[in-house]
Amino acid sequence: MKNINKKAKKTDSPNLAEALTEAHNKCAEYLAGWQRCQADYQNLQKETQERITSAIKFGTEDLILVLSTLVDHFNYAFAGIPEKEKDSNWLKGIQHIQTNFLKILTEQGVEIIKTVGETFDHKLHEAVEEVAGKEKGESGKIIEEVAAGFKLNGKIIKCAKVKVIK
Amino acid sequence: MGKILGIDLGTTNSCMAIMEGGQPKVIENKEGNRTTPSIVAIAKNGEMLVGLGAKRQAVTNPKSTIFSVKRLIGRHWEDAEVQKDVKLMPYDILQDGERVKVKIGDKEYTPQEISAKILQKLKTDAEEKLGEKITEAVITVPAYFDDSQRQATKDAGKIAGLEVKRIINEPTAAALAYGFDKKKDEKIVVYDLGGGTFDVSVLEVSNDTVEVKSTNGDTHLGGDDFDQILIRWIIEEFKKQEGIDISQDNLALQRLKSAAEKAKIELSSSMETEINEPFIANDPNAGAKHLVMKITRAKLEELVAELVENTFGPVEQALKDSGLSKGDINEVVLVGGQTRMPMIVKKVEEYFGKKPSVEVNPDEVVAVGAAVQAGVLQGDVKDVLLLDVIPLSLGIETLGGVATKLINKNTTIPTSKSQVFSTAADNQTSVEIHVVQGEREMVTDNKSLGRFILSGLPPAPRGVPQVEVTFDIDANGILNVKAKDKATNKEQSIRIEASSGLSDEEIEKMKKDAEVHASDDRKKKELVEVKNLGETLIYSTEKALSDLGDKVDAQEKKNIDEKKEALKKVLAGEDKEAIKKATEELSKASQKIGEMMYKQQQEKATKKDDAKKSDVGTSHAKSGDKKDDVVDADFQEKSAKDGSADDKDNEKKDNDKKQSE
Repeated sequence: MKNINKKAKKTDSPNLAEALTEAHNKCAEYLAGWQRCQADYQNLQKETQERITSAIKFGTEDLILVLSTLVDHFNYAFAGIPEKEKDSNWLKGIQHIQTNFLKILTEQGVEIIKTVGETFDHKLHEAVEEVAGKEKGESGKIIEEVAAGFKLNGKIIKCAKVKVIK
Repeated sequence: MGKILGIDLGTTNSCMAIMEGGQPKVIENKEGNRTTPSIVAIAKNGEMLVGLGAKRQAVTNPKSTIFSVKRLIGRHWEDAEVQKDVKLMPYDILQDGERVKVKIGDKEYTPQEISAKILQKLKTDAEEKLGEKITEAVITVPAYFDDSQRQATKDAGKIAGLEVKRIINEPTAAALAYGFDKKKDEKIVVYDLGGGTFDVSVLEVSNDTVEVKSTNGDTHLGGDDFDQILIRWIIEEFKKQEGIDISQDNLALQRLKSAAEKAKIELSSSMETEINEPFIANDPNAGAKHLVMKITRAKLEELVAELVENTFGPVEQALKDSGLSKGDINEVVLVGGQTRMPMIVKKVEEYFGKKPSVEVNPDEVVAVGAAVQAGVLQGDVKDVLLLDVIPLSLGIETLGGVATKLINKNTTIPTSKSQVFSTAADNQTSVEIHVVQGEREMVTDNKSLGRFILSGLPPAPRGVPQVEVTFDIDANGILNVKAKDKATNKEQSIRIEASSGLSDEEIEKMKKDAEVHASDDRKKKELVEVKNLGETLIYSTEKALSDLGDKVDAQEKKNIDEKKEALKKVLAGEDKEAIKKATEELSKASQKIGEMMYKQQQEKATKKDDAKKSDVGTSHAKSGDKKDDVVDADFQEKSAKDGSADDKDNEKKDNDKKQSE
């Protein structure tokens, strides 16, 4: 029995060294993989936290975007008030509704982007048309708002569509 | 080693993705969008703009805003496509020897340089998002791009500071996103209907490569054409209704454009939508006009039928060129936002006689595929550590035959989860843990994996003992379930290897069954829950009554007894509402004892402990993630002699099992 064992040991030794190297390599490979996994996981955790924070801060974004079309609709409506309605009490009531609505939006952290008279800024405005100006030095200024733009807690959620002077 | 960025450098929009934790992930740009317009401009103030900013100012700055530069990259001046663009594009395209250049202000740029600006932006935004340097990329190009166009795209990457590790074909990327490259000898058709172009490609997967057999398309057919048709129709309809032509009114047209696009998108998920644009015309003299119009999906489909039909000419041709027939095709992949339209999915399905793959966002699928290729090149961790998920949920049987899940399906393994359960009857000295697998609400509908008994619990009122059940699955899917009595630390366990014993078909069937029976199952489970609630109330009422004894007013006691009997009667039946009502009535009636008990507690402030005990009886334990939550389990009381015999049997079985492993 002893002999057989010895023999086996002898032939095994180069294999053992090989196996050891292989095991070392595997070990390093697995460690690297494990570290990478841990890093990915920690990054995910950080990112998730950021997402949650942003979801709380901007969670109403979709709703605000849907409601924001009503700001335009009020503007379109009041852009052409018939002469005979101009002083009617009924119209004033509707205008109060608009005021209330804008107040509600403001309370929710919404800011309406300034347009007419401002210089065109691609970060805030989208130009839909270029029109001829009357005076010199007006070039690049916004002459008309086509659709209002909004910021929510400082972040631009919809840029204003405007006409710009040539 | 840094991450390799996968980039879909599109004609109208670009998109980027990376591999993270073995999964492709689209990266948002600085503005927070998942796609970036492929537009470059030099603003009037000399600022270089790329993406959305460039798009927004395009109208005011048409000569210095370069879009669709992909149509020019790597092309020769004589190419028909170039000559067409020279006439069409608002910016100047110049001849540069055999090649082309574009002019912005007084400077000239090669198409590569323009493309590089886009790539540069993507690179910078990705670096900011990921917080690490990006130096390498995989970029996709259309399958029909020739060597010169591919080389030019590669050069664009180089100018942007990216080492382009590989240029891959867009349809190939789409196939990679679905993992079809692993399916040997598969034939795949990629149908790509984007905003402005239509491409169809036939691919064949052979040993480790995806070969493009043929490609065809229409460079001027896309989603924008669909919008145009809808807008034109609305204008006509409005004219018929109100007698006003709004096509001359720029403001109205702008509103109509947004409304039509919104309607088109809504009709992909609903059968009918309403366009509501009040005061679309508002003249103080002529009066106000409102555009309020209902559009059905059928109407939209009728309007665009010809456009959809037009895509099948190129499909037919591509098939012919590849030497294959419809029947040879194994997979069909849809790419491009317009393919979200149900009609297109249906027509493609009808044509090929098989459901197309639509699971990956069609706007992002190419970038996702580029990221998958990037992952292969960077030797992502996925190869080292292939993590599996459990296909079906695992749980135990609780009171009333309900399957309470401990580990939900699709959970990545290895993982473990513990939950504390309690007894269902007084003086219950053993509990049976019945391990089940499946999505159904009731145990009988799920697969039983094994059961064992934990005995030797000290006698106690129901709900008091705390038995911690722990599920532990190792990376090989072997499940160990352990139950431990927290009071005595006695524990019993079972090892189950059969959780992998189901075939893919069986798993699919079980998942389908769960979906089909979801509402029935929920009803069954609700009934059990209502019954459990009723039984708990009877138990706690009886206990309270016996604790208080003759301190309860006789009239009160009679009233409670009547309500209790009524509840017992309905509990025998299956009428959920009746049980609910009877439970509520008994609950109201027994509140009186609660008040009395409270008084008694105050009187016997020193004997607080006793009172607390009876409180446990009345509080109804709920399941939850918190470790200390207690759930009533279906731990049926076992008669002493049966129990001991069974216990031994089970323990023996368990031991046998362990020994045999």
